[in-house]
Amino acid sequence: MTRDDLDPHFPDNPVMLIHVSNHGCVLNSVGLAIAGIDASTPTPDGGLIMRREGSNEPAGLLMETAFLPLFANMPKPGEADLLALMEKAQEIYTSRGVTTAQEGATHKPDLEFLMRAADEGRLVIDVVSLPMVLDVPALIREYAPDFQGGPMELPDTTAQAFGTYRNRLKLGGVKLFVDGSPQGKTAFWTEPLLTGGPAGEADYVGFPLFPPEAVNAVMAEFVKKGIQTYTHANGDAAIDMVIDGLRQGGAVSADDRRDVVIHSQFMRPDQLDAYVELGISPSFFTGHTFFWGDVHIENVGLERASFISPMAAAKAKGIRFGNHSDFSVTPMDPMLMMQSAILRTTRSGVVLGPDQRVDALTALRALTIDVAWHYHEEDTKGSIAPGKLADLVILDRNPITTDPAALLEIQVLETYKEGVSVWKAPA
Amino acid sequence: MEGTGMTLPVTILGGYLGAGKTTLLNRILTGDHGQRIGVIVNDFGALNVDARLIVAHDGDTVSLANGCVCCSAADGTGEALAGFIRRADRLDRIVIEMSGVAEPARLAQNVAAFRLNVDGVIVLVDAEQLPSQLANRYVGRTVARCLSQADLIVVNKLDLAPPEALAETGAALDRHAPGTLRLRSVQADIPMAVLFGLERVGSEVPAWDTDHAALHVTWIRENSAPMSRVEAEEMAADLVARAVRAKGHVLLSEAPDQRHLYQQVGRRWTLVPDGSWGAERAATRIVAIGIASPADRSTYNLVSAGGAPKDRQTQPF
Repeated sequence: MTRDDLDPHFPDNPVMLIHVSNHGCVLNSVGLAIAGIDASTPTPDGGLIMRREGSNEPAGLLMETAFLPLFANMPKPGEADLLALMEKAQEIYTSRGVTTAQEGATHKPDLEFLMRAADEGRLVIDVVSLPMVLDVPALIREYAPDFQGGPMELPDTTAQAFGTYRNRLKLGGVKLFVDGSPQGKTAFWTEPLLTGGPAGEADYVGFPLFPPEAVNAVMAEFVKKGIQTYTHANGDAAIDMVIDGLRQGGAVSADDRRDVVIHSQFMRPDQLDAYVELGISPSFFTGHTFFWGDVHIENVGLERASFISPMAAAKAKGIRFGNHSDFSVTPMDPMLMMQSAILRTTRSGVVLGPDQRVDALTALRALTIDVAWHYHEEDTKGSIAPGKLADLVILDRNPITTDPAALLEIQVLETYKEGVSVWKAPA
Repeated sequence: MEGTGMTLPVTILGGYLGAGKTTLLNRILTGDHGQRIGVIVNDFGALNVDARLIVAHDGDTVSLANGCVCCSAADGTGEALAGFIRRADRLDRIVIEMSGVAEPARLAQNVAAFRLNVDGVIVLVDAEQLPSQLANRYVGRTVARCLSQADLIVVNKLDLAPPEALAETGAALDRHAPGTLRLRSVQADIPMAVLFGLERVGSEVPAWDTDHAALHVTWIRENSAPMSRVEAEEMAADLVARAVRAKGHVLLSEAPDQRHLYQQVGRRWTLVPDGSWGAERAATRIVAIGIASPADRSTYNLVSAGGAPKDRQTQPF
């Protein structure tokens, strides 16, 4: 795609089409003009300004260090604009039958926005917000101004802020990040990648985002104060850091903390035993088997790649797990998540870890009752039973008995939140 | 975007946990150094800046009495940089504190992408803990890469390290950062001139107390004969080996009418055109903060600037 694809449709307004990886974008001509990028702009080190063939004119595509500085002049949508979009945004979820969603990395301004949306009655579905650990000091300054303590200490009453919905919004736990993404080669592994680092570095294992001392200290504080953690960890070294942190912090399975490791993708079998010991639960990301499975095989080899999001092995150990889309990283489509857990087929058709495929009911549980359990909501959500909330979706056929290959054809007919219809397929 | 923040130099401050970065940042944010510095804090936890020195608090940004501004990188270093570029007219310099596990080279690349000038990568190390950090299974590789990408290394907490540990740290630095100059410090007490450079070119030399002078010697190199570009490169190679910071004008024989500006932090140096000589007498004048011994003075035709105690011999770490 180039500016020529965008210009006919957007001749007057600047348009920036950001790639899902957030590493680059395509600008239309108005956008390029505002960014001050033209034929005379040198290509920065570590970046890319794609040029029109046979000329130095930018074609529209900007990557990495050419893309990054654009944010210096980026207009930000106002709160009113964002509030007006809440209805449409939630329709993405309700139209797929989703009635509880996770806001998985809530910065302080995001939380303030969500609280406003909730208080104005704009939330149609339940939203579980996970405040970012880095924003915790600022949140404490705001909500507990009299608290005296170290930078990563929490008031004793912090746990009271978590776990209760108010106008469909609740704080679920704290979100931590330990590494990046495997396809971006920014995850953190114990064994080197077969293909080297992003810049061709040999003996490359990725890197942690924070030193273990820092991770251990905050984990210990969250365990001590009774706050559930949701930690982003993709590579096995990052997962080791989470395990170390929770173990040193004193987490034990008997406490029923349900600490969640988001992604838990490149696990080693021995780490499942640590999950059992400490009561850690993975939120897997089986969609990766389809979207990036072939890339993973190239980067870490077939054997390691085959144990990505190991649902069957986790199930055999009695571990409960969720599954997720990381929307907008992959589409918001529960059937796609379910299908990838059942089939584990890559784009090129390789079945990635055939022994880790699970049955349809297990795949469905990871999107319903077992995620409700992550949120400590298994008594009110996640299955159809007397006394539970009528958060329901009506599908045009039974996903348990449908041929897995045909799961994506299933249509949502209607979605109910607490007994009220919130979405209906156009007649 | 053109023309914004073009002249703002950026200092990248790296180093693993406990090396003294926060102590140093507190000095910068509260010190009486006359520079308006925008500091981007990029690590877990918050700085405990004395509340009496804070004049304004706006979201993630704190303004201090000495004209410095501190901003969190919670929304990304790029966002924070962009914020400083928007107020570039009210800043003299940007300092970015790196997280203990980030890579300076990658950050330097991103800074350059904002068309800002990377002034130098200064990495602090804990004189006692460095060897064990290098051996850590999670962060060992990262700590080593950070050292190898430093322009200048500050070996801090010298007072707390037993001699054996010091020797081990020295050996580790020889291995991971051969040829990179090292300063020694206690409680991250580094002269601001080392961090942020020499205010003006010429005969003026920044003054600092004699404790500092015991560690760092200031020299001026002056030569009215033009030098060739090759000779300038040789001079740079000499300075890189012994000056932690240097700045000055160079008279090049290839372009005698054009003034050139030489700037150096540790092993990073640049020589760029810098207008015409104007009223200034055309000559090469370099002010350097070095760890040279008196013997070097004669060898390199350097002139002691401040006299008396400043030519005390220092031992490179």
